Amino acid sequence: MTQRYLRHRKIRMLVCSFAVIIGASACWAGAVHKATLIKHNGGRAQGFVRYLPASKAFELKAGAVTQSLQASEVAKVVLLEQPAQLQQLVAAVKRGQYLAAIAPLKKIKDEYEMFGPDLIAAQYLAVAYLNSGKAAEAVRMCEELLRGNPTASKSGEFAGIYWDALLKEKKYATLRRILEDAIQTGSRDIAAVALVKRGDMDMEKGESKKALLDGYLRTILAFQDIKTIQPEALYKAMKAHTAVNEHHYAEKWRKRLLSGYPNSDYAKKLK
Amino acid sequence: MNRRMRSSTLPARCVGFPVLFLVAMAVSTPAVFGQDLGGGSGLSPEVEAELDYADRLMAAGMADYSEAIFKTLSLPPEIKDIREIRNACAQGKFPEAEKIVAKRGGETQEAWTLKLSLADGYYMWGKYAEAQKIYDGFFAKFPDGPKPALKGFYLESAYKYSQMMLMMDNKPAAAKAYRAAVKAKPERHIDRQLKSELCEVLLQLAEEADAKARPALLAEIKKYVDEILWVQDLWFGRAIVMLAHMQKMQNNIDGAMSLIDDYTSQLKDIDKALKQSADETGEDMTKLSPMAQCRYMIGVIMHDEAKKIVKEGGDRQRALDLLIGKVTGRTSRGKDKRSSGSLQHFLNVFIRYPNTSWAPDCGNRFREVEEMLKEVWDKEVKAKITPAQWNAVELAQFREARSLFKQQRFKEASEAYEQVLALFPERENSVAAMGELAACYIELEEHLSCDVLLRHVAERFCRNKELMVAAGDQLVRVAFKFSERNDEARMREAYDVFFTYMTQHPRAASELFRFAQEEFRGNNLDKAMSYYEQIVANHEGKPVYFDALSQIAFVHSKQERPGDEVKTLKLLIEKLKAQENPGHAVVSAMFRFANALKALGPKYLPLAISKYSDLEKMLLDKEARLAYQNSAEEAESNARILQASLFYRAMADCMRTVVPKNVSDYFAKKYKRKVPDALILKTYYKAGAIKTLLTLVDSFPKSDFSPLALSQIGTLYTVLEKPDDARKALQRLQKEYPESEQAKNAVFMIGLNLLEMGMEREAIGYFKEMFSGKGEYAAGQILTAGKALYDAKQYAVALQAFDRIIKSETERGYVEPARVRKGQSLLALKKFKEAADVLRGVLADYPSSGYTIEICLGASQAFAAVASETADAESRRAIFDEGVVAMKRARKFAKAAGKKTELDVGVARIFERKSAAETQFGDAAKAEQYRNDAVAAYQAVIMFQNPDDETVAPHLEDAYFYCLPLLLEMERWDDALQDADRYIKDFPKGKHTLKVRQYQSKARVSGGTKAAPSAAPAPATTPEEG
Repeated sequence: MTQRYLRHRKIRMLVCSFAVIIGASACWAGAVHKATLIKHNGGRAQGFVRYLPASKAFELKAGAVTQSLQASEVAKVVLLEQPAQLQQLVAAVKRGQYLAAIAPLKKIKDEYEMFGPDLIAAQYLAVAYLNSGKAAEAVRMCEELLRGNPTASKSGEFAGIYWDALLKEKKYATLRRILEDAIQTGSRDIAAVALVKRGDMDMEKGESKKALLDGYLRTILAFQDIKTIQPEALYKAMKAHTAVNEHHYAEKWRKRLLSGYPNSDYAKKLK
Repeated sequence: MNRRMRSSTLPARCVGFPVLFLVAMAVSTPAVFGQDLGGGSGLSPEVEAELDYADRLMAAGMADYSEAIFKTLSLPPEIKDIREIRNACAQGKFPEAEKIVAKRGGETQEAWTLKLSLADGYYMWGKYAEAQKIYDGFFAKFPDGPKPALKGFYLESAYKYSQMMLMMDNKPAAAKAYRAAVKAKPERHIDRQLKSELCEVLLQLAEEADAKARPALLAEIKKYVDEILWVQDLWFGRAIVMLAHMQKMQNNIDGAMSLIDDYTSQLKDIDKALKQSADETGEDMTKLSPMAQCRYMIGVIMHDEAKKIVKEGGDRQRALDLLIGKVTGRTSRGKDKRSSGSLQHFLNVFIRYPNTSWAPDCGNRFREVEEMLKEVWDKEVKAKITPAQWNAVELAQFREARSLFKQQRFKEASEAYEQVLALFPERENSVAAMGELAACYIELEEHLSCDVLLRHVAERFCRNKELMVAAGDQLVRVAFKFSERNDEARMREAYDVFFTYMTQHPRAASELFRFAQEEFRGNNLDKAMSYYEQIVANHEGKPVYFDALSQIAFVHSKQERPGDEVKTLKLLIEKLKAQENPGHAVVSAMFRFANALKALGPKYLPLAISKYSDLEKMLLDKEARLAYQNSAEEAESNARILQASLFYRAMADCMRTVVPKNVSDYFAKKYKRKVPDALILKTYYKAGAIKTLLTLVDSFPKSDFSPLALSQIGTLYTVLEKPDDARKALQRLQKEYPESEQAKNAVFMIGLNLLEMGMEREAIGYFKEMFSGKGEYAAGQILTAGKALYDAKQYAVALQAFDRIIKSETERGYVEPARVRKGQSLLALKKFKEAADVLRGVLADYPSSGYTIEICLGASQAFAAVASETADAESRRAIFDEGVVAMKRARKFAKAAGKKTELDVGVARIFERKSAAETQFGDAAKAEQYRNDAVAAYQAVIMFQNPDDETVAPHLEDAYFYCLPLLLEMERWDDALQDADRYIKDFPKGKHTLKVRQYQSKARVSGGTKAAPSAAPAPATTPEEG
């Protein structure tokens, strides 16, 4: 009898465990990640975290305690582990393997919404879409992400790709409005990138002078502290000056690019 | 040492400072790298001045002018040769230069001076290989250094060559030149400078060299550095920095870190000396502190190394030691004692040396280290850089640039501003600095940079709450600077940028209005409008907003857009009434609104009248009108508007042509029958107008409108067939307002008024009184009366006016139009012969008259009419030809296509009449000939004129209309059918469609087909003008 009791007890425990697990799973549907949430006031909380898009909140479970934090209260999310495939997918996109990377990047973007890797995934997903002739899809995806996470626009890399997608889709009016906003109110690195993009848009419309005056030259002369964008701005300014036969200016920027940023991709194009 | 670090150790604006410092420290030592080679040029100041002038001409690209000056100078042979070589090289004439060199020959200093001048010329033209060959040859002559006599020349040449090679980025050649210079064994401070600069070049070469070549370079550097370290001056500090770089290159970071400690006391001594020098000379030399430089450079080495370790996942403790220093022991209180890490170095330089060029980057790097410590090691840094400390560094940096600006050293100032703005791009001081930088660009005529900067300031700060106003002020200052330089175009561009972006700036509205008013006064209405519209769009509620709306209405009025004027005034009234105490502005706007409605035409007359009434009610109510006058002047203005409103309402009532339904129903009910509208208009409205005008005169006897009103009353009584009342009104006018224009011209005015009201019969009576000779009337009035009568087709009476003028006046301005109109009046009265005589005379007397076309048109009709009744064939043809000549003459004056076509058709008509006259007088052959001429003339119009031109079309239609019956008469059925078809196609709703269809049918029935048209007839032979 004891053995039978024990066997039944074991079975009951197993069933209960499963029930707990199933129950927990049911309660915690959606991607859950082990992470630390850092609040604006410096407070931290670590545990299993998931994001609830409908309520724009994070739910954190630490042991038996579950707490909820509005996304607006969270300054930073630090994942314990980054998505395994992300770096490889980024590398694949950089190598030009766009189509194969799309589905897995999309998965990471969705599963890590608001955790950080979603932004990187989205950025490279957009690159993949753009280079696969799916600019409209890139725009749609970026705008969807921005709706859920407006702060993504503060990321210079992400913003740059989104703007490239808009440019590809020739959504000039929308793009101009967004760029003006970024130039006037964005951080300096965002503003610098926005100026170059505006220059690209004006060049596409054949307005080289405008591209220089309201785009590339502004970045070169007024945003010298934003080094990352300087090679691109110098290269494009050189091209724009050449287009309007201002060869002495073109030469000036060529020399600055070669002397100031000799190892940049843009300098290599000149060699 | 990479380029970036080199620029950090030796910022562009500090290039001259080491030399300056050396000069300051060694007061009695003469400058070496200048003109003085031990004796000066030996030329007189006048000749020096001429040579300088020749150099400037050469620099401006005017080589031939330079040569002309040069040839006038009497120079020693050696200087002459040098100059000639330079001139030849500047023009690319190298063979010529080479000849001069070859002529001198030898190895003397003079000979080498010429050769090196030639080498400099090659360099200028990019012929680097040729230049290098000569210089290498020169240095090869002195493998152990120059003779004492050549020392100065040799040194200068070697240093110059080293700089040339650096500009070409040819470091090995530059190093070789430096070594050569050192061989000259110059004075100590120059020797130290040369060795220090040589070491910098060698460091760069060592960085780029492979592992095999590097040790030799480092050994050479070490040799020089050891020599430099013997003396404590600026070069001493740089030598330590170079040692640090060498340590780093040899992966000995610890060695680099300990250098500061090893040489602390010497560096402190130099700092003290610099401070003392600053106190004595007033020039701040502490910004060159080698201590600051060393700390900064070593801090950078350590920081970069730590970043590299963390990135590569290396020894994190090592990275931490680099950032915050290694633990070297324990303090007496048991706490860790550390050496200095990069954090301490950065903080030290930032706080203690705020005026150095390294301080700002130290601040930035301090923050970077702080963030890194937090992120990677979760450590907090206790020491903080306070905002006040940041401000101190910022102020020191900006002060330096501003000092150069105030000294009008614009080139250096611009470079200084660019550097400091790269560090502090968006601070309060930055905005003013950008304004000054723009001023530098203007002085240097770097217009593109200035434009870019202005747009940046405008766009970047337009939504920055703290800095927007300051940024806008800077834009206006720059615009003002352009204005001072009379650069109107750039001044406007600067303002356009300001207006586009700074819509919220406190000055925007007033500046826009100022510009708008300037354009308005200059009659550039479209431009003025664009400025006013900007005010209305962006500055609602400001005082100029209402002024702008008012001006927009004025512009619409000037550009004859009454509809838009009305809409604008309506908006203005609405906005003004929403204000508290709007004052006279509302009254003025309401009055203008009523006037604008009246100008829209009869349909809006009732509405205009109702608006005048509203205004009168408002102003006649003593209580109500107080809200609309804030001063005695405004009260007076309102009173004038009230008088004007009464007057114009009365006039509007007189102009009614439609009786509103409620009014006609009222009268029908009153009189129990339908009262004709004409009677209502006359007895009700015009009588009502009289009442209004009388009210005006009685209430405001001193009003400017009162004599006008009495004049109108007289007219209206005349219309109402009350001559006694009319006369009484005129008498009152002449009695109470004897000096008024209306009193003097009462009869004339009444006549005109009657004509305007369409009452010609009554008007004629008054005009006859004028022409009878009673009363004094100006020639202009009589002419006006005559023209008005002519326009009203009262030709016989009009003739009286014209005859009076012709008889009494001599001035062409009156006589000419009077004669023209007389001729036209006679023509209209079918007195063709008299008309022809008058018009013939006018054509003869005024060959270039502005009325030529009118005269010729009239004259040709008169001639044709007279000719048609002239029996004698020769005379008849001559008179007809006169008509054709007149038309051709008119055509020469005509510019518009429509008028030309009309005249061409007129010529054809004359041919037609000519043919008819020949038929009448029995010359069938001539009749046929002239008919052919007529058809040819019509066909020319039909073929060559454009039916789509609105001005041409009516006359083209006439050409078809007149030509078709002639073609039918000539039995040219095909041509007639084709022309008819073409007319129907081009003018489906034309004025002659019905008739043309009849011609078309006739042609078809008679056998016409749509074959290709027959060949165009030969052009008619027309008489030439006599």
